[in-house]
Amino acid sequence: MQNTNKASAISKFLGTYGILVMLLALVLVMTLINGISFLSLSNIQGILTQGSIYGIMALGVTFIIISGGIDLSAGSMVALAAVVSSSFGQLATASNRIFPFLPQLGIWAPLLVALIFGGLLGALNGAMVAKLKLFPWIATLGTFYIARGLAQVITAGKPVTQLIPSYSKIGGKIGILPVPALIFFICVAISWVLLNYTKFGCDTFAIGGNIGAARVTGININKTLITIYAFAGVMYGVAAFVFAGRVLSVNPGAAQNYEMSAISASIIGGTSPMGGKGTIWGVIVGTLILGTIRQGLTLMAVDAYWQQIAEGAIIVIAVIFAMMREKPRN
Amino acid sequence: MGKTKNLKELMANNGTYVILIAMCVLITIVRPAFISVDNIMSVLNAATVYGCMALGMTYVIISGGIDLAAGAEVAFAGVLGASFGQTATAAAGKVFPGLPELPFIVPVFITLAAGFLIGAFNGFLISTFNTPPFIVTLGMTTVLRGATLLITGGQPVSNLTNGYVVLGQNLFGVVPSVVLVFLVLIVVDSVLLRRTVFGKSVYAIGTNERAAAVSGVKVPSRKIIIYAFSGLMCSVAGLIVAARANAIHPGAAVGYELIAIASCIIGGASPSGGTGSIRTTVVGALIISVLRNGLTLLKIESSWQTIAVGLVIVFACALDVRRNSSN
Repeated sequence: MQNTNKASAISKFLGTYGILVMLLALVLVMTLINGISFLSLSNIQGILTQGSIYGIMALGVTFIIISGGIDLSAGSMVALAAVVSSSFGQLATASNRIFPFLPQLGIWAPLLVALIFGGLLGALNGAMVAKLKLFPWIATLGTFYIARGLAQVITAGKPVTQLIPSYSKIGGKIGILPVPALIFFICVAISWVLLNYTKFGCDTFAIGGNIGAARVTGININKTLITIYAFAGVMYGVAAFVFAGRVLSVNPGAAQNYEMSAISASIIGGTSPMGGKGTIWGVIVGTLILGTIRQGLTLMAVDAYWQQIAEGAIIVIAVIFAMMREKPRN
Repeated sequence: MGKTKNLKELMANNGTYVILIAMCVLITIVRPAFISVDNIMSVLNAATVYGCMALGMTYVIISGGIDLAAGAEVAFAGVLGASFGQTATAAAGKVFPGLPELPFIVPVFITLAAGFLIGAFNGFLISTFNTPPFIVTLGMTTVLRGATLLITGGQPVSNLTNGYVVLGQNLFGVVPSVVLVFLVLIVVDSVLLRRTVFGKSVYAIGTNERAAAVSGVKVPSRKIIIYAFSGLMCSVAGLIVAARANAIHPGAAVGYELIAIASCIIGGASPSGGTGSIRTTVVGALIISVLRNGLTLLKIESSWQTIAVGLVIVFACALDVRRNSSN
């Protein structure tokens, strides 16, 4: 009796903090392999900077997955939003301006464009899911191609370069904190409040838990779904803005497969692939786990192809574990 | 009055055929060169690779699943097989430098076996752990692309043996041999789907998985076979890609899974499973091929073609939803 109590207490503890234990174990293993330098400030900064882009995306993706959907277009959306927004942040003297008629604008312009344009793109996904009643994976697979194609068309296949100097500050640091990480934490705070303390967050869980029941209780399903995808789009916009600040030369073919990292981070963090369950702090841990694995493999000088294989394997394994967690509930 | 009703019925039953014919007529009016034998063969030729993929995908979609790894399966199976089909003189770019020149049957067998086994593994992951097919196969895409790059070190596999050359370049009259392969597969897959117990069980699983299980269909093992079959069809596509260019790049067939899926759905297979047929999938594949050929003849650049395919899939799915809700 006491034993089963103990066992259930342990499994409860692992259920709640399991991924945190996993993160710590992973950091320990990577430190043992790569030496104590793995815990150095610059390395931790590296993990945070790297992780923040798909971490920000994962926040938006998490809302979508909780609502029972999926977004395969996230990477293409980031590329398109990055290309379009950074076109508003080119130097007046740049030789390859996408919009030659624009004067040189402040950093606010690309940021605003990224947020609004990202939100619109997301709303488009949401409208297809809500109004056209398309399966989310089909609708977003369609926009995956459309957005990528548009990014190519707008830039004529060439990268957007010669950005205004303030852009490089986005990829820089304030004190010891990388700016991308700071932006990630701001997005985390916003997402956390939205998911846990608003009617919108409540409705998101309700739709993912049981869409029929949600409809009966009077939730405006269409409006909520469109808002969910639009919010995710805004997050992609932020990610696109940060991305442009980091690379300073935005290629229309950029951010390929980023949707995979975002989905991985979310599901590793405990978001149920079947919808209805997920937490923001889980996304943070999921993002850090993914970042630790990546940084560790890079330091171990693992071949880039093997890293790619590992990343695909991680998402498959994460989904398998997620479905095994799911079983007791059904 | 009666006429409009007839027209409606015609569209409802044969809509995809009408669209295909209308497109051909329209393009011919604008660009008469479309209707030449050469161009028609090139339309068919262009359809073979994703057409083969779409044949396997039809089984998967009817069963209520999806195989987003299809494009990566084409590249993996094609590249692995081609590595065993390089000429002895291809010393510099040989994947396995120690290998003598092998008879064509060896690379063919390895290609097909690789596709079948990878597909079976997908099916195993999906049926054993009850995981959503699109996430698992998306993850497998990354794994397979990485593995393909690993095999070749990022380089294309070229200088393939005579068997590849014959398959890729021989004509039977005016018909390229790869088109002939495609036609044979259409017939085989169609019979398999319509006339066998296996085919019936594919529909049963897609219509109502629980009911199928209760009525004695071994759902998990059937699912493994369905995905393995899709992998097998993709490996044929891989063989064709390699044969046509006498080389295959590890980045081959990127995004082709979307075109294969679009072919099925334009043809009328429902993404929710239970409906679809080989015949309509082939029409769907031809519609896309004609569309792309037409866009090329009209000198529209390839980025717009990517966008067009994306739009077509979304519209086809939206139409499918309308169809289902009106029934």
